[in-house]
Amino acid sequence: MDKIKTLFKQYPLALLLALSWLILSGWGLVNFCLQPSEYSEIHTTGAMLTGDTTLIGSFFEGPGGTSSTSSVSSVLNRKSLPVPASYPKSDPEGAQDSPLFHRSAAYSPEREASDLSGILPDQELYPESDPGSEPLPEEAAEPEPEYTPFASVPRTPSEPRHPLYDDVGATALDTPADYITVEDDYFDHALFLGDSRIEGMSMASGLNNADYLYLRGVGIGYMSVLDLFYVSGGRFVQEDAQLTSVLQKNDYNVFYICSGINGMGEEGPEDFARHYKEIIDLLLSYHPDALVFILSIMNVTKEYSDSNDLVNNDNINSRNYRLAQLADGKQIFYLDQNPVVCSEDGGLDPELSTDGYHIRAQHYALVSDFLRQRGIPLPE
Amino acid sequence: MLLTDLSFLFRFLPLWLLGWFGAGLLKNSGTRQVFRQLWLMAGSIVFYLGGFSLQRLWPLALLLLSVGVNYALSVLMAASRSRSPKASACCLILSVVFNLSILIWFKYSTEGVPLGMSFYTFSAISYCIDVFRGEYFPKDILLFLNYLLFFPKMLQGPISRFRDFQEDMDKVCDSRLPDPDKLEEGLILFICGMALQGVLAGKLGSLWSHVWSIGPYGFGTIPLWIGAWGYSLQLYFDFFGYSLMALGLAGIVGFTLPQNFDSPYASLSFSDFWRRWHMTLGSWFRDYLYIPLGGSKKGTGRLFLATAVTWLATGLWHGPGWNFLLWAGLFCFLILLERGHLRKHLKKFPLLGHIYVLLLVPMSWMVFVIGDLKSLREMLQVMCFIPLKGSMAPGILDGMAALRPYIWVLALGILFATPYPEKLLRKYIHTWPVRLLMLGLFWFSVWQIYKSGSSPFLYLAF
Repeated sequence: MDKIKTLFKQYPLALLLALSWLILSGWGLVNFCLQPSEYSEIHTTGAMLTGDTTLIGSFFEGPGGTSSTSSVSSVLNRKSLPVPASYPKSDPEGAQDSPLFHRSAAYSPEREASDLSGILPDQELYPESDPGSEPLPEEAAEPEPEYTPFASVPRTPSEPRHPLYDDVGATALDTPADYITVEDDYFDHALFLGDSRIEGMSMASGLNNADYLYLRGVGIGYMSVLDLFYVSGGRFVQEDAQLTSVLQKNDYNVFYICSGINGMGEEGPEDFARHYKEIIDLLLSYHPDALVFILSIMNVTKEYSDSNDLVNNDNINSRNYRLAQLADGKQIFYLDQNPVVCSEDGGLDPELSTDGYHIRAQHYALVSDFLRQRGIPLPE
Repeated sequence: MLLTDLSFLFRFLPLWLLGWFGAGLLKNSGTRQVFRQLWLMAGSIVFYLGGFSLQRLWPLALLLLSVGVNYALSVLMAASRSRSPKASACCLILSVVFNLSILIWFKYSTEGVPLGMSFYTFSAISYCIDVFRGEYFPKDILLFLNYLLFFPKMLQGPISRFRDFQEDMDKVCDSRLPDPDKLEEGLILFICGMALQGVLAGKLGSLWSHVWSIGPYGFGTIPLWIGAWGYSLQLYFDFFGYSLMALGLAGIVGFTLPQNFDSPYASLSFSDFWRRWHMTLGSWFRDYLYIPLGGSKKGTGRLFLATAVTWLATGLWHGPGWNFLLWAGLFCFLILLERGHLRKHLKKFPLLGHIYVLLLVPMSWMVFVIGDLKSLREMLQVMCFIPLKGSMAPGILDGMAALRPYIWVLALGILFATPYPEKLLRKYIHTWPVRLLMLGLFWFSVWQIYKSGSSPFLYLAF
């Protein structure tokens, strides 16, 4: 005992650190033993919003040990963020009940299969769905309508580089519709909602008559619960705006949403699309007649894509493909902005970007020009 | 493996320290010395390999080849020094050419420089030159290997000298128990470095990447300046934080590494700044290039030549990009200008000196970091209050609101760039409030690093 006291007197900080390390490691070890599934979740590196996950868990991870372990469901379950009551469960059963899984009227597995015929003969298109249940058999039995609000072109499927993502072997196109060219006053009652790409739009798109709500690094699942930056009439208004209060105070007739590069790795494309649909439903619950334009997630540069197993163009495409299926061609439209900003290699044009995943301010005019050419007559 | 990797902090380091301090139980001094030398070598190799991965096997083989060749040449050099100075000089030239050609080959190849090569090459050259000068005789290859491989400094320096390492090695191998004050000071330096590199530099990096990803067509003059200061501070804390960790880690096991930074942003001139920034690189160039070329003792012509060559080498050391040469050229020009009359004026008016440094140094870092001439021109143009042409040109304050979340990070960065926090810490270093603060700071930093992922050190690229 005396020896310990002497040691503690001589090396107090070293022993304090060692002791706290032992206590926390022991606690982590207990957690690890009790909840092995917590630590066997998908390792993420690209997620910008990660929850307050159990710290010591990392010490028992595989080599590297610096990745965070989280999924939206686990993050929300850990109560690190307020959870809106309307969030559906993230389990497959809950997913089946979600409005999102009621695919657009035109959806049918046969049509989708024909889109992909010869490309992915044996691939499971919706791997997150309950494999034991039939995918909406009553809808599949309905006759195919004349108008289909979904179009895609085949692409060479690539090997999945992350367990959450598949390659559906096709790229979704703009929702088929009679688009018109519009003037800037079309955006007088428009709200742009999203992440850093919307921030860029607010700063440099030239559409200063629109409103913008954004948060750098935010994933779609958090859009309705976090404080957002609010820009209106070309001027910054506040940095702690809530989506619902902005929707309540203003009269919008068109929404543009751009989100999805953040939080990759937190959830698969199906859960992601379900959260996306929740946001669309929220917007339409305040402004039922408004149009909603889903802007495709912008690709990253090929160099960036090749070097990242999580945030890459295959996984972005996987998400975009599901987003395009949210469109109904009447009120909700999917617009693929990638052809405007990508080079021939399919990645974001490196000339437009310095970091590989944002376009620089002067190039947002390309996007606003594109949006001007993709107008749908506004509701009266 | 990086010093801020959790696998380093919680797997490698505790195990390695256990072995190192456990050797204190060995009563025989000779056995203890051999064990610690071998333990240090084994630890450094595992560290360099990043665990037991075989991916870095060939860089390690290259490093061992460098050790072998340099040691053999230094032995030849020392043996022939008195009998045949020409042969000795030839060995020196061979070793310098060998070291530099490998470094230049990798610097200019597409593969990039193997981890730590820039730093161990400089250490190896300094060793050979010192042997040539007769400062010491090579007699222990294991010691030389440990000098080059010493894991706290292997990746990014500080570039230490062999004599200091040798003296420290003798001392630490003799002692059975670590010196309490030195151990505590080492821990404190390590924790401070971890917080500065792993937390503060990362947050400042977000500020810079935010500004730069949108660029001068989105942000006005003032936000761009804030971004430029953000980058300047990020670069400083990233490297300073790493250096503190290296110093601290070495201190824990009883070694003393040279200081690499001395509050550079508190300088009054560019000459002063460079004396306080990456000091071990500066002193290496001074001792092994600038002074041998004549320095300031042989007239103005030689002074100009020595300064220009030294800065050319400094620029090239950072990489093959034109931006590094331009950056080095700017430093060279301003330092020569200061040698004339400018420094006298700056000394007379310290406030003017501070403003001069705080305005021109961030601009020089913009030259350093922006590899595209057009983007650089646009950035500097807006920073100099010259609006860009076209309807999209932002106003002076445009985009300020977007930077509001970074106010506290920037304020902290400015505070820790001054010498005052260090002075305060030194005053109360061995007191309980500081110990508890360090305990909290350690776990806070671990949590932050865990959340955001360990970010690679910026200077690893050089």
